[in-house]
Amino acid sequence: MKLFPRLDDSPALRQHVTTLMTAGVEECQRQRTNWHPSAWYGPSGGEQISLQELGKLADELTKIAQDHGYPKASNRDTRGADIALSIHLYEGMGITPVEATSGGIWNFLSSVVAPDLVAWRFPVREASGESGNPDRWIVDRRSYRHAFGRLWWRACMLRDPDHDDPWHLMRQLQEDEFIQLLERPHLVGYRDAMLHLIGAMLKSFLSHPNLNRGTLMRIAAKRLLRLGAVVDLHALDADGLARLMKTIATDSVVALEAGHVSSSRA
Amino acid sequence: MIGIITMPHRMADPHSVVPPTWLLGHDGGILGDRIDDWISSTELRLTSQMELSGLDFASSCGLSPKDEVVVCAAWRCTTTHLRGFCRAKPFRLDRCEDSVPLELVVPPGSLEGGLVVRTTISLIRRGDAKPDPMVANRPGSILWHDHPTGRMVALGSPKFPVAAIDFAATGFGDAGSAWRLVLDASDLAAPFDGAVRLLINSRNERLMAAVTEGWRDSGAAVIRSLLGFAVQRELVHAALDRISDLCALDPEQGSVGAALKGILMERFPEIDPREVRKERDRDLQTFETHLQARLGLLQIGELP
Repeated sequence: MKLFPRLDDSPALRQHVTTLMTAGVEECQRQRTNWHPSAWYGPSGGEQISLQELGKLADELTKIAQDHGYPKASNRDTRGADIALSIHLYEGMGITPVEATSGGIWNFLSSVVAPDLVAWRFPVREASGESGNPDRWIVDRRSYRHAFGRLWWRACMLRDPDHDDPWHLMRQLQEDEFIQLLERPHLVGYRDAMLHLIGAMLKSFLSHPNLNRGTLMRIAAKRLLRLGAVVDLHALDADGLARLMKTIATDSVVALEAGHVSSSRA
Repeated sequence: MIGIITMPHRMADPHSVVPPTWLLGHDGGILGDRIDDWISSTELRLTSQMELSGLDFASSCGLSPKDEVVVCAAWRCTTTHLRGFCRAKPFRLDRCEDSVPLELVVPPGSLEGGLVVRTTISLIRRGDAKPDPMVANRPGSILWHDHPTGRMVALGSPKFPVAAIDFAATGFGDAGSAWRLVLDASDLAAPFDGAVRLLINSRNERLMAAVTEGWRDSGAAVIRSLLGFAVQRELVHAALDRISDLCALDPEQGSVGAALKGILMERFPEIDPREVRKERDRDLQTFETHLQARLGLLQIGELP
């Protein structure tokens, strides 16, 4: 397993990121480097990644971004880029979940190694009065919103090793649906249940194409969380989970169609 | 009615179940509120026997003796939020064995900070009993759990920075060296994580295996004990070298000073640290011998 350099959240880093957020892709590209004097390696066991390996990873991520429109601001295929970057970060970084929970490694990647990719993926349109979202650059509490951290966790949680294409779930979900699932830490902990829920919801999306997928996923995720208080999701085997998730998906569709749940309070 | 209706149901009489005692797989010791010598890149194996009286359990939660339940144990890491679980074979309450074996395996690289272990008994299948709104009916309904918040276990060493590097290639030592502790105790207020590194020679295959391949092998347990002793010994000596400074300040949690002060208080709880320093200055050889006992050198329990 690899250890990546970490850069702690600090006033200096936030100031630097504020500059990067509005600097534009080209300027961020000029500021790329492989090391920072405040960086340090993580505490868990593993082999420190070399600067050459860091450079190689940055090049590979850039190549993926280029395949999806980088560095141009127009015609960006952000969904395709997210999927490809997720897979590459997960397979290419070689880190443990413990290492991935460190905000420092993601801060280092976004503000030192590849700031231009973050600036490209999450551009700030100053003309529209946008100030940028530091959560994409710096991990505050959890890495679920970070430009790279969220992609690594997405791949980690949704990988289906028993399927011909281990990434088939990731390819079928949309951004809002990822958010409904992966920004709920309690739900993420029940990985088997979450994968079964996704399977059931994908079938519901197909049979009810007129319903808003993100809203439907939000309703279902909340139902599962509520149920988790009285039902031990670990107690159910694959058949039991499939039956339960089918019920949740069906009830969520009924609730949304009947107007019992609005988009805002689902 | 719309949605999933979760009816309140009767829980089992707590006296019908004996809460499990978890044993550490590597040395058979009881899982307490702390696991020392923990390296997050190793597997953690916990075993237990769950004891319950099936008929008492059934009657207390309104179930029929023919109803089926399952015992599950789950671990959760408070830092990574990862979870895992084990599920025993479901059984009918009238065919309940006296004890149900449980084994939890936490994969390497999944734990840091704290560990919560929780055990539940849940309904799997009801027989032909009449529906009763006060009795659990939904598969998975929790009928008993050991504690609302489970058991919190502080993990001893994941915050201790460990790195595997090739000593010969980097100049940290010879090709045949085993480990090296890099400690900068010059600034007692500096973060401990940033001031210390345990470097392990990646060419030393035996040592690498001992710290990365779980705790089942007795030889590995000996190596880890030696490694743990060597690291703690260096920290104790570093603390004694700066004893005047340490006694004069109240270091912040997580700092070098707090770590050095902490190891003295933990290993010499009943002795004034200045007296420990005097003992070392008086007779180093005797002190080193005492230190072996204080730091638990090779006190690794009964080996298989």
